[in-house]
Amino acid sequence: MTDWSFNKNLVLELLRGVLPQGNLITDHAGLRPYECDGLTAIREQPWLVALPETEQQVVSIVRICNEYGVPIVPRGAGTGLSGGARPHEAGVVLGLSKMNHILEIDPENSVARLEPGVRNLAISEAAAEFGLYYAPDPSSQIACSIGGNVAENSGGVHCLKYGLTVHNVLGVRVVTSDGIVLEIGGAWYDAPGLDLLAVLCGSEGMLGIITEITVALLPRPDSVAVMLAAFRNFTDAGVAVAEVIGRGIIPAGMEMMDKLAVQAAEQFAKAGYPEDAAAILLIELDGTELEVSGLTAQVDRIVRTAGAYHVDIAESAQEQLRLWKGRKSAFPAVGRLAPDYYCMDGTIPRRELGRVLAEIAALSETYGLRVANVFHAGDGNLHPLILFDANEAGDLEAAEEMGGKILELCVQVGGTVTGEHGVGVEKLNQMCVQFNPTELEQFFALKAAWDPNGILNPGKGIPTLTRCGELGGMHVRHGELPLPELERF
Amino acid sequence: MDQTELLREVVVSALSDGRHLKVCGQGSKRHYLPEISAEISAEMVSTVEHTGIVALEPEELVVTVRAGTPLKVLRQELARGRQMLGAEPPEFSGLGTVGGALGSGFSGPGRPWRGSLRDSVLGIEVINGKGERLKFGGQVMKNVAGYDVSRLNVGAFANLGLILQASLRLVPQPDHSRTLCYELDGEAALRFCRQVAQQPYPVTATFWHDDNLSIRLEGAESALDAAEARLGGQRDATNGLWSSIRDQRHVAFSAMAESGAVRVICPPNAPAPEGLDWSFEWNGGLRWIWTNALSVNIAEYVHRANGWAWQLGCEVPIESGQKQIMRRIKQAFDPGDVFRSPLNLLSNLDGSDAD
Ligand SMILES: Cc1cc2nc3c(=O)[nH]c(=O)nc-3n(C[C@H](O)[C@H](O)[C@H](O)COP(=O)(O)OP(=O)(O)OC[C@H]3O[C@@H](n4cnc5c(N)ncnc54)[C@H](O)[C@@H]3O)c2cc1C
Repeated sequence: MTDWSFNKNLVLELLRGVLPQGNLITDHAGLRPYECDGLTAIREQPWLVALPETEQQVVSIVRICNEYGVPIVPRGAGTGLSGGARPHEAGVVLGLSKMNHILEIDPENSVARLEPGVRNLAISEAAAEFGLYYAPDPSSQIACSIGGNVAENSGGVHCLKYGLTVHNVLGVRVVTSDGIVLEIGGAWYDAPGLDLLAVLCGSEGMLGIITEITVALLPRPDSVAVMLAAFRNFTDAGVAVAEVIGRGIIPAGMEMMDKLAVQAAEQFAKAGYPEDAAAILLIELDGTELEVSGLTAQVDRIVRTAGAYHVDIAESAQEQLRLWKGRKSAFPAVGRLAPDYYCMDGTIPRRELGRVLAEIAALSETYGLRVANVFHAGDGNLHPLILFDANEAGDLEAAEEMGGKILELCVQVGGTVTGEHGVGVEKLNQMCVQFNPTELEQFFALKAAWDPNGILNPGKGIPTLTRCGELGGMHVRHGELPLPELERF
Repeated sequence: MDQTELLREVVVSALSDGRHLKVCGQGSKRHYLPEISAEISAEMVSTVEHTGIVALEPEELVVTVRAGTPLKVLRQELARGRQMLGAEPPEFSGLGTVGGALGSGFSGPGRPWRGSLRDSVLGIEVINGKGERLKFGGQVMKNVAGYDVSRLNVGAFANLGLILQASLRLVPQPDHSRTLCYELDGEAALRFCRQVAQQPYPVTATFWHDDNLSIRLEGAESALDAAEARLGGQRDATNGLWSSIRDQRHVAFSAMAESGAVRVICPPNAPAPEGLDWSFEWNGGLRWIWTNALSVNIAEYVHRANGWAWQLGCEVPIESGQKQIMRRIKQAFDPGDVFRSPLNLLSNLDGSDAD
């Protein structure tokens, strides 16, 4: 275990020297909002919160912390769902929310240069006057920051066609653990040498502090259609998804929701979803006007052949917003069905959808906890939302245990424990299932290359071998049971 | 044929004997790279026998393929299901292998629209410098478990390990493809590309050479018709223009064989270089200057253009702060310096060459 004892008075004094008054929070009430991120079940109060306004201030803070061995937890908007920005009790939360300026929208090169605290949606809003937008659109886009998006390699409903954050970022400025600023990529695609940009995307604040991001902007498509297709069972909806992709169509978005999610969303958002459906698909198609009308007709035929009993095609922008509203508010909507919910984030090969949903239903039965399923169907990213009541004794533990089982199931069928929300503190145990000790050691070696003193977001992302060892051999890796030679009853 | 164990033994025994290895496929990109310094002998270890498509799942949009598989074979196999890789790595007269393409990371003329080769990598299996066989990423489209070691290995010129196989994302082949040509000088061609880029045209590649601009459109026929009606230009009837650019067989590249080339990456709106023989791809974001030396003149131009330049056959220019991190990463994967690579990130150097 790392020893985090350091001279707090001295470090505080030094930090006061580099930050304006008011940008250093140390009082109990002021620290409260930083106790957790979007994974609210796990809380911790940090030693203090530092809110730099410039890259130079970030550099100074990091240098002080590195010299005295103070843990740093970077934080964007705190919407992360895996506890990545959960504070360290002995450490500094480095909040980047004050570095929230759009530095440049450059329509000639179709790029935007941003400070890390810029909200995701603000980028597209600022680019709109040039007919451009930033494609990755997590459902949290009104709140989450571009720095957090890079750190989590976030996706959105449009990432099937337009890619994840990593596919849309041209460059970053990053402050390393020893307080050096690196400018990686930036002006245009592809930088020389090892692809540091790729490894920073999704690094969950464990390799460096991102202080500037250059993203690619795209021209808005001429024409968009959004289609809702309702099915009497989940399997048919799954067939429809496979058929669409099998015909060589890559929709701009293709989302699936199960009955409970549909009902919750409908009651919450009045989106016009048929509440008797066992599953719905939302499909967005974009391109030129003729292309979209051709595609819409084709997809309409495909979903009906697959068994859709109701198809609603939204042509006006207003109608389209209505259909999307249900999906985009699915999380808060499900949140009204029970006092608490726990959002999972596995990815599976799509062909395994039927089997995985059946097993989730069985787990739901066993644990006595309801589950609503929201699914980025095009790319196999599943978000089961487990409903529970934290005030009921044992409910939270049951939800966590059941969630863990779902993730292990995802690995077993050839998928992964996290598609877009990151490992954080939440999925450390399941990482032991997905990676063997040699692979985990390699991750640690890579981490040490960036952060030899281990001050950046310690304890997140990669489980220690001891932790995995203690979890024991109960886990299934690549579908193989441990100790297969033993008889099982 | 699966040669995993054989390749692993080669690495393990090199490590224990203190020998060095240089990983190669067919050697099709040798002319790009500096020679590894002669005083250190490095044995070649080739992946060309490690071939085969391990799994092809068109409906999941993914293929898993061994490193020695020729790109051309992979392309032909994917075409049977009307699919392809998004990126267009050079095949170099059919010699290029999947491993070589991943190791060098080149993406072809469609890179800004169709994405880079690295973008399509979903998972990778490597042998690191300790002779350990490791798997990162997977076969699914979205995966943020652990650091993205898969994409880190793309373009790493086998500094970190030997790539055994990779899972790659596939895209459907476009229904139609059409090329429009325009007679424009360099500055006018750059300007035209910029205007086109502001609109959602189905452009997937651009190339300018000898006062001729070619723009590739791909997608539904109706979309191509609509774009052509607005963009005008002459339809290009010749076949194979884009594969000749991809493989650098196009006449523009003959200058490379004769006198060498400087490869410049810069924002597309950077001004055209004056008084130089040059061509561009990627709307001007990738510029080839046909010359045998990175003269002061060119260096100044590249600096003004806010770009970076690499003279083929010479060392890749890496800023010293980044090189330090890259060295430490190299050390993390290959502590014994088994892998010698033209990127020259030798981990045991003390960093004294920092510039
Ligand atoms: C209702 C809801 C819907 C969501 N929908 C989606 C979705 O559709 N797709 C999706 O991918 N995610 C989604 N999320 C998850 C979350 O919004 C994303 O992970 C988002 O990218 C986090 O951004 P943030 O600014 O809130 O980061 P935070 O939560 O503050 O931080 C996330 C991680 O990034 C690190 N970090 C933050 N900023 C920096 C920086 N500048 N430098 C280095 N490290 C940094 C932190 O240390 C932490 O590990 C959703 C969350 C909610 C609450």
